[in-house]
Amino acid sequence: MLLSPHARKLALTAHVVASVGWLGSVAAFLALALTGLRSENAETVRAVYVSAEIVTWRVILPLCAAALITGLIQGLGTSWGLVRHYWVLIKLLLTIGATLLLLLHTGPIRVLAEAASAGPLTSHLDRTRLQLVVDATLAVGALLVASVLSIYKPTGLTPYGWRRAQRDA
Amino acid sequence: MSDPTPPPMPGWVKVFIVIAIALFVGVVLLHLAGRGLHGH
Repeated sequence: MLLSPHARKLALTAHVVASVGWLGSVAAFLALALTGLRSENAETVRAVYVSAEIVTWRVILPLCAAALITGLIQGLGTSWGLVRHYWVLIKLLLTIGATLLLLLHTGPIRVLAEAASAGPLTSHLDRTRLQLVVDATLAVGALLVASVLSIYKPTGLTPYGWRRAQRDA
Repeated sequence: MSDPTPPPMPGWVKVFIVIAIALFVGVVLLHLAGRGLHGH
């Protein structure tokens, strides 16, 4: 079922707001993760990982869910579809990948937040701290690519999209 | 009469797939290495 022009604009606005907010919040998370990795001040490190957990659960996850849901509405409610154009399909896969990466993140973030709350972090968590930086960098990259795809909309129909276009012609 | 063959996959999609697979394998290896190091 295709959305009316008014509903389409509303859904697009919600999708852009959620997606850009998600990108910004992951960038903020990356700044926290970098500070946590490099700082030698125990108070700063503690504040960083406790904040990172709050930002993850209260900002990043809700925006991620909103971006995914509004993206599905956009795809299913317009003639773009979800799997007709390569750029839409890749954007969907990137969003699902970034969501999985985020869900994988929640465990190590909780471990670091609890350890930081209990006292100075020991060296056995160094790899986990580095892992947060790497994963957040990848997530920012994936969300930047998704944003670029949304704006440029590079051409290319999938075999399914091509068959649909032939049938509708 | 229309051509029944779908157009080939665009070059930018192929480049994207190669980069995505390389990054995915890298992330999985990093996570596995982290788990192995922590013993859980």
